[in-house]
Amino acid sequence: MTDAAPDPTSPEPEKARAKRGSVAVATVLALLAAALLFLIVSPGDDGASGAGTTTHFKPTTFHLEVKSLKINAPIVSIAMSSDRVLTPPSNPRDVGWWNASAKPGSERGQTIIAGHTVHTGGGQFDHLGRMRKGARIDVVHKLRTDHYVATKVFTLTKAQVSAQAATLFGQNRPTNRLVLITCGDWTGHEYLTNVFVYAKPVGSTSNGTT
Amino acid sequence: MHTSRLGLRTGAIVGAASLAALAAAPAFAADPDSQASAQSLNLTVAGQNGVSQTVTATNDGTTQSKNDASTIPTIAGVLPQNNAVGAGVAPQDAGANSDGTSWACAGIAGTGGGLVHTGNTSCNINGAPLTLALGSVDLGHVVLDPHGALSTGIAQVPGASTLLSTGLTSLQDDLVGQVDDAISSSPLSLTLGGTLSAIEATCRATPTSATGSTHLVDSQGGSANTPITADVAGQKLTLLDLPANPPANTHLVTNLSTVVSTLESALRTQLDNAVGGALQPVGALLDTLLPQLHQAILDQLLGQLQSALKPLQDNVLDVTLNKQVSSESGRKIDVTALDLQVLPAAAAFTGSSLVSGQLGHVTCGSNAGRPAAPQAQAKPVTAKHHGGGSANSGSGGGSGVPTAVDAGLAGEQHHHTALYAGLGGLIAAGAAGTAFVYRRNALK
Repeated sequence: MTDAAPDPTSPEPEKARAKRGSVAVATVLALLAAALLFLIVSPGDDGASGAGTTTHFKPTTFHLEVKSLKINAPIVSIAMSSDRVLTPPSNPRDVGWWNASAKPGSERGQTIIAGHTVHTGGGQFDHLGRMRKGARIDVVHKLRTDHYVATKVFTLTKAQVSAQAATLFGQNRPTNRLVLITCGDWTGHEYLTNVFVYAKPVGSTSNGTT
Repeated sequence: MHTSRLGLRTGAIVGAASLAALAAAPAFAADPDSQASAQSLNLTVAGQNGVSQTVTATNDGTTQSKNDASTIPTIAGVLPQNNAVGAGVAPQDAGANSDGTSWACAGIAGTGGGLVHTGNTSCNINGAPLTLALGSVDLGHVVLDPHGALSTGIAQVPGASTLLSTGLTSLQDDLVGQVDDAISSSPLSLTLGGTLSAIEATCRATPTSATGSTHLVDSQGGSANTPITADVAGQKLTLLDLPANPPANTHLVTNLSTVVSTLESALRTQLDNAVGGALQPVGALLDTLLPQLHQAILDQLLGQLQSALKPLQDNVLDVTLNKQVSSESGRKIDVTALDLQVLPAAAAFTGSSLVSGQLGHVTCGSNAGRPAAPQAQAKPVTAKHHGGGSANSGSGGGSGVPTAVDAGLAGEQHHHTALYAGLGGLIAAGAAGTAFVYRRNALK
């Protein structure tokens, strides 16, 4: 008893081919569906749907100028989030004044201004850590310019910032202090530290406009 | 066999229907809940058009649709062989969110520049040094008429005509030669331009409002003004000072009267020498009349020069920074970082090359959808913030102060969604083709 040679014209192989054809069509549809699905659920396009709540920033009429670092930035008003995070304006060329801190030029409290560092460049505070003690910092308003001088430049880890928050951001100071803040120590994935600059007021000048 | 063919046909019909439905879907889509678009370049330089692809993003309330924005165009790619805008990139991006917000940014930067995203709420252009030539004006065809200047000058000096009757022809030849030499040795072209790091237009929209702005980053990456200068007669003149953060619809006009006066001063000396040189051989004939004739001919030539340069004193280039058009009750905004228009006066100088068009054009809105959350309830943007979002609530001391500052942004990391989707489509098309060929062979 021998097996008969397969007949290419017999219905069996044709069935198999047809079956394979159906599989191919199914594969096409599956790939199309996969591509569509990828478009719909892909992170990054709208990954924060529902979660990506927009933070609003209000412009102010103040400008921050630090000539030694070539900083000239509009100051906008920013609020602390409900989980107590201070986030600078989304535009890295703006800097944000925490709206619960002392206004620039106030006699007491701390004027908290935060700005972005962008590790590829373009943030107003990219080089904040290079500020030298004694550097001149101006907050320019249409009526006057408040002058400050940097007194301390230091770096804290995120944990240290949290632990020292009352000192760093608290408003119970008898004299005004300007505090500039940004991020530092980019690892390629995240920033590990915050850079702080303390500055003391050294007077103001009138800009002579009304 | 019939069953198999029926299955194949059914599969093919379903596949075709799926493809048709896929293609027709946009046509049946409802108005988007949010939308934005961005185009970095739309320029004409010396008759050559350079238009970058517009990135358009829409969101129907659940899903964003966006054309491929994964590749940042280069200026050389959009405007090949142009001498106006230096080597660099023309970044552009737009996004539309399900919560009814949208954003866009577009502009140019030097090589090495790119995009910086802040989560899904905004983007900005990362600067790198870039030269920007707004145009050059070629004055080489300015032709003076020494014959006319000589005859008019002689007519203005009584007695000169009689004294020069014998040597007039050679004097004419000398004057033409000397004036031609003076013109050809003087710089009769000027170039307008400057150096900066980036020009960008940005916008953001919510269901209730739309805002936009324009930023110019100076050549040092800071916020100093960017001077636009003209090189003329060996001098560099500042014609415009572009502000880093221009107010909306800042209109600047290139007033070239300074250029004209500088050019005249430079040419006056050259022409003075030319007239003196031409009159030297006949100086003995003229005697005391020589200085008068010299001045009369020089005045005629300078008069001709002023007339020829008069179009330059009109405006040749009309520049609008931060051009904004708000519409739909402030829910839509159209922002152009730099709008350049060549004015008709420039056409008087053939061979000139002035840039016209738009650099950095974005639109945001109008958006529907639910209103954005009020600020007091807003959570920080963390999608691309790194390292600052993990605030704890206990150890800071005092509940009224921040315990973290999220002040770091990552540079551009491109999304490859569209690329992957395109790849999937290609694979699908290949598989479909294979199935078709296979079926044909099977039925033979």
